[in-house]
Amino acid sequence: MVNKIQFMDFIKLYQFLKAETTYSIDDNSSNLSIEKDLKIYGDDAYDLLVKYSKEFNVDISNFNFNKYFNSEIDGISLFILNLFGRKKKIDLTIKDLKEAIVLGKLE
Amino acid sequence: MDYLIEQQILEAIENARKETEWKIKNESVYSLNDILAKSINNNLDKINFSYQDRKEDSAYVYIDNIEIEHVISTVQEHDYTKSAIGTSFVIAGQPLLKKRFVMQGSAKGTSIASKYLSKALPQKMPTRILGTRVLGRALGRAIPYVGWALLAIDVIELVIEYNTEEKEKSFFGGGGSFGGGGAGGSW
Repeated sequence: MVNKIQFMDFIKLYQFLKAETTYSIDDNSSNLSIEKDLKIYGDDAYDLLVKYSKEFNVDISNFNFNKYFNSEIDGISLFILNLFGRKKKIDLTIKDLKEAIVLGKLE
Repeated sequence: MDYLIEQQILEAIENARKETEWKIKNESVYSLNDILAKSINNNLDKINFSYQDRKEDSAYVYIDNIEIEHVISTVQEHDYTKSAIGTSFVIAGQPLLKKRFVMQGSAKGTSIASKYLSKALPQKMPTRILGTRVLGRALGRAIPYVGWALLAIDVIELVIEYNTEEKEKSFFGGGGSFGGGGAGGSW
């Protein structure tokens, strides 16, 4: 699959991400995290994934949103919750999105 | 009255206040009016003495009678409106509303503020504010911060009120120490 990702053209994905997040990403960009680096979380992340699913025909039915993204919450509340040992979220990266396009599903 | 004399009189009264406070703390039987009047006159005499030879028509300042009015100041109850609004705003920003996420297996949380404001104002902005381009969502994300700010202001106000109340409890408003209170301090 690594080879398949290397040779696939992800310009459409980059354009999509630019439109949704305002960040310019290309093949030379590092493997950015959607929440940590692109600062997409909560309802924005939800909308992004639903659009991404439709745009690239990726099945997201088994994707556990809460495992990867914080809900709509302010920074102060999040900081307090983290103090009480809140489970940290797993990063969903650009590479994951690329892989999901190849596989046709995001899990 | 010239400003310098006015200041000297105020200083004399303040000194008299401190002396009186000291005296009544060390005496079991006393007449507050008498001690205070005597003390003020002693202090005013210093001013009288320094001015008596300077002008021919110089006036002699002294206290004849003192009436002490006992004033009970009631501390106004703290207004918790800001706290109530602040808490509501913070709660409105919490991800309390759960809705099913596309398919089975996961549910995502959204906040009351974000849900209803993004419905009311779904316009997209040219730049991202508070991490979003949706106008209503940005407002929804700002609301809990306003709430935290209101709560913080209320806490600070409560601390100030508490400190003021503690000072007022002490005798003569002098803060319990002889150095406290100004010339214009409340009696």
